[in-house]
Amino acid sequence: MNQSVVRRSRTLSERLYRLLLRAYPPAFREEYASEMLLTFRDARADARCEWGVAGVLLLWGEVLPDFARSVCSQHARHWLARARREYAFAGKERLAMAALFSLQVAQRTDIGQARTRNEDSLASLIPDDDEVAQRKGALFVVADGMGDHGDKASELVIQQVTQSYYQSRQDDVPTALRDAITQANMALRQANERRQSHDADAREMGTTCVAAVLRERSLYVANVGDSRAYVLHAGQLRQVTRDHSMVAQLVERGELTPAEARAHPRRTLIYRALGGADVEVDLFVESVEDGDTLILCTDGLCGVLEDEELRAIVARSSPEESVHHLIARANALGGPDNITAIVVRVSARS
Amino acid sequence: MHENQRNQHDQRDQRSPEDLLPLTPAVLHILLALADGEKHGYAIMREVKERTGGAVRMGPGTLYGSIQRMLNDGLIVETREHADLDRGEDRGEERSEERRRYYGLTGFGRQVLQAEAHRLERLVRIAQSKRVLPGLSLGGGAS
Repeated sequence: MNQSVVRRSRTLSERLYRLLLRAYPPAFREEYASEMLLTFRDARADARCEWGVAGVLLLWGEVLPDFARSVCSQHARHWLARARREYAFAGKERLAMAALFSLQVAQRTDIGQARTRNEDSLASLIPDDDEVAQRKGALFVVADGMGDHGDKASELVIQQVTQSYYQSRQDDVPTALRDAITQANMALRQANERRQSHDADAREMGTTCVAAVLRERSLYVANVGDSRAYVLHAGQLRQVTRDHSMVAQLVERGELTPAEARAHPRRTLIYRALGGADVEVDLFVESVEDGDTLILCTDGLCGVLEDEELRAIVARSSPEESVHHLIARANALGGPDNITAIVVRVSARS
Repeated sequence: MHENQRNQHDQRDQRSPEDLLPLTPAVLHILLALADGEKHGYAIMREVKERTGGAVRMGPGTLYGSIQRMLNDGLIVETREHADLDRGEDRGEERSEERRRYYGLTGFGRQVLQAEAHRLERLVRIAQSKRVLPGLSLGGGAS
């Protein structure tokens, strides 16, 4: 009789704690919820063993305040990190490029009309420190996640790329960019392996990544997948990256027109992405001039808008207005995917 | 397997351990618990509770929140993950066979712990010199 009561209180405690764990932010939960549940189970077993049912109640008296405090602080951390990443530079003119240029940066991401979650992530970093700005330049990254946890994949890769790039002692930008993306790929692969060791059915997660560095008079772009970098120079729009998608190959071979590619049912199929064993990174180097504009975007934008429309919007508007119009336009055209854009205007300092 | 992580730590090691001081009580106690070997989450919790006579109790939320920050700061690493069946039999209760993550100190984590211990030692000396704490008449010379 007594035994059955104890059994019930055990399953009840565990079930209750499992329920409480849902209050943590998803990224934290994904990483630690199963460990926390194990820890709680052990603590409950010990408390029960030493003090019986009273011990379990005492444990709850400790666990509840701990839960309330840590849920609050985890959410605060989560939102702070997000806010820092997404809104810090939006629409503000920054005068951080020490010697030659000032950069006007705007960025925005939108869920679109057809998806239930936004799996795109983005970051713009302009170092405050002049020495770092001169050595490393400003970094802009866009990633389009896919798979079971595409949002987590793109977020992880953005975080890893920005962190690795600025921590690297390598001053050669292309090498540092390639290393940063390779390291991000390893981190994502490890996350995939860890998930699959817990759950053999887990589908792998992956992401595209396009990263651009503006330093002095040069633009460096690294790319994997079908997110894009464009440069608007003297009113002309030029695509810097090459998509690693099946339809792009068909267009290059002349078997499809760009318009047909945009309407193709398999247009989202890509043959290179982060998250697997090895990754081949394309690198491009260009020179930039006063008045040039850099655009990074996911296929939710460039797969929907024609290049000419993209050019017209960016050519006639400020970066802040541009990102706004671009996203509104992609949504008006059906918004089939998440939409993300970073627009950076380069001006010579007077 | 952890080569990638180690590289990152090498780069972080340009930082001075003093930059992270003072440590929060949770971080200090977790570092102390790991000073004599790697442990999994619940073993850390139990040791902290026992060593402080129950004065410091950490719930799972505080524990894993701190672990997350310490991993980011390069103070600790995940050392291995394996099935753990300890202590189950003597209680006749079935134990979970799930995989547990173990954590261990990094070189930098140990330096930070030492720096914090020195900082606290200096504090204790000041307290003694002001007669807040009884002095430990070590090595003579005093009085």
